[in-house]
Amino acid sequence: MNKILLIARNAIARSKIFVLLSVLAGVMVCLAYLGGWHSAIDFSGNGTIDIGVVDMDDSFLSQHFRTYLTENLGMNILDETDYDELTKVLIDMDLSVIIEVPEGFEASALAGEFQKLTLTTTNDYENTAFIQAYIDTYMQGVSAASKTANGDAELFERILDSASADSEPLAMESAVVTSRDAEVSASAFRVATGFYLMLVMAVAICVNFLVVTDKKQNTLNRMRISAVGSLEYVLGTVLSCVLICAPTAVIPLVFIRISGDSIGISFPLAIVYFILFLLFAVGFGLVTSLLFNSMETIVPVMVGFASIGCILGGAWFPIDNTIGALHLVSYLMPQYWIMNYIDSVQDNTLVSLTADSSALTCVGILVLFVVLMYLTAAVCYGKKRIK
Amino acid sequence: MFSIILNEMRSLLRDKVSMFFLLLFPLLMIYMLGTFLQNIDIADYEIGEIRLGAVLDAEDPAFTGFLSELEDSNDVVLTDSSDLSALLADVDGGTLHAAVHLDENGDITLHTGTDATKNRALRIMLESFLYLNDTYTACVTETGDFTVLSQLQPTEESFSEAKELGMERTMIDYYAVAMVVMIMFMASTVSGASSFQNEDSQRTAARLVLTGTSRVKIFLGKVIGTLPVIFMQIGVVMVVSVLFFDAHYAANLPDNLLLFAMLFIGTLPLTALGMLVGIVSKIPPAAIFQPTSWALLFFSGSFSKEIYVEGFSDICPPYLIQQAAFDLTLFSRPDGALTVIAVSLVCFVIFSALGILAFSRKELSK
Repeated sequence: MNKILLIARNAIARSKIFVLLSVLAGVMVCLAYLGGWHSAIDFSGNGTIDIGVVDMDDSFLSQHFRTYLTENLGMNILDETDYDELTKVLIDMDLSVIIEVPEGFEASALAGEFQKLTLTTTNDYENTAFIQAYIDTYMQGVSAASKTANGDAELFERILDSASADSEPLAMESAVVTSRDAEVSASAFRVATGFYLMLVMAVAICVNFLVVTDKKQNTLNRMRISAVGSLEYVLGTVLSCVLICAPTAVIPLVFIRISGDSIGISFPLAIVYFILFLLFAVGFGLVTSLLFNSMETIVPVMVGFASIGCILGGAWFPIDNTIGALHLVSYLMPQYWIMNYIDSVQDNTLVSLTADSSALTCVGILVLFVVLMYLTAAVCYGKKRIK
Repeated sequence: MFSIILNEMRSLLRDKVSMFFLLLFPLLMIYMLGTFLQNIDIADYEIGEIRLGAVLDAEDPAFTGFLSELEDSNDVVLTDSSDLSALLADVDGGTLHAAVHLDENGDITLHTGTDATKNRALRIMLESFLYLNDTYTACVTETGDFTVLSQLQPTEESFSEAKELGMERTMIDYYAVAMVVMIMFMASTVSGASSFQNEDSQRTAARLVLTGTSRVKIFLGKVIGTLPVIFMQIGVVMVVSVLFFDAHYAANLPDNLLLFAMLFIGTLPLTALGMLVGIVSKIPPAAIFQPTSWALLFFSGSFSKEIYVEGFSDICPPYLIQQAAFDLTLFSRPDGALTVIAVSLVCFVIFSALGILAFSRKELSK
């Protein structure tokens, strides 16, 4: 036991930078949790949609129309006025629609003959009919003003100005009295868990660093002829890495506990999931450092697994059955079982193809993943000894 | 020098695990991110059907007509009631999305639920209705003639016409470019730096110098030796993503060749920079370049299109390369690509000159 602790202490002393990284990672998970709170949808309805307007008329009416869009309808008109640049923004899905005001828009409106506004949307934009309805309602008013003015431009402008001056904002009240905090905090916990699953794999690279350094410096061979056994070395290294990676899990869990928020699943279960995945990450790092000899090879493997595992596991965004056969590969990722359980509880739906994902099933599967990793590490280490 | 080039190529190709991940990883990311994020990449949430409750405590034919029109549009399912509190409870419980109340004074209040998209749509519709009413009122007040109202009948005429953009960029198209840029920044810099550090640690560089090979030739040989591997990486990713993932790059062959040239030449200064750092620094290159590259790629939107920090993202090299690529693939505008090529060549010359200078002065391990 003393030798294990000695090895662990020595390993931690050599990995101070990883301890710092682990603390930073823990803080990042906390920030992700807070970010999840803030990014919860503001359901007040006062949000804006971004639109682009290409004004080829530059008249009183086109300016009035723009003011109507922004002040009455609460839309946000981008500063850009060039159609090609707006098209780029539209393709990026950062814009809902581009509205083109044709030249002669006001003159034709005054004459009672209306030129049509052109709305450009992306190919599958579903809200086009609504935007057309908003514009048509405004133009009904313009049509009324035009008929009343009967060609008198000054009267036409006075009518439109008067309508704008007299308009009062719609009274709005929220009918939601039931607190949604539990839903929001559960959603924030999901975001934080996704970050944790990725960051703890990054911090677990410390395992690779320790073992690869020991291999290069021949420490492993020296240990074999010393009083330190292989098991003691492995346990010492694993213990040190678990302690190094622990802040990544402990800091956010303590933070969430102190905040007292409901996270959708039971808090002890969250602790179990975090610890099991931490053990898996350390085990995975151990396996890769025993299989490969250089950090240049190991780091892409770790980064690759962390990225692909998180994507397929639904850590970054929910995945469902619509992705086809790829969903079957998700089952091979431990991240999937954690996120699947969290999603099932929070959405109150079954998102898995398998039977009901009970907590015990998910914990059992995670334990099997952890055992698999350490058994594989033991086999790899044994083969290296024989060589 | 040719033997140095050949040796460099062989050593890169020999590391099968790295090659496997440098080729397979970007392809997997293109497919997964492109497939999984396609449904999330939207300009606006679909409004869909709105379940609206209405309580009318006053007679208002205009408002009643407006609500009827909403119901006829099939976008709104209307529930009439005389009990406002019951309707509000339904909104809170989620049975209704919102409720509208016309009180005895003729004032309209919208009681919103939890769906922000539907709340916003209802708010806009009601604001439009109120504005139309205000316009009719203004017509009367500005002329002082009530009879004008009889002439102002709403028409069925549509004042706008919708057209589709005609071009699109799917998420696979986006990540097909983004992941190639990721290879450029993450792989080239690290492999460039590692090649020199490995040569030095294995004393190969010192032995090469002893044979009389000039340091300039050694440096240039190693740079040129990486080119076929880079060529292969970029080419394989582009071809596979087109053939198997239905990704679209440029619309015609000349633009595609220009795109490939931009991406290939853009890798040169990164490799030279990696070699320069590998010569002057003893720190593992992955520790320097991977976090830096990851951060640059992250803020350039390479991993998530939504990440954009004004003033910072638009000066990040990965962002500039991606935008030049999209200008070429979407709009066939070559200016950005040509600028990237020119700047890359200049930077390559500068980094190579610095690298040669540093290598000339470096005390090699013997």
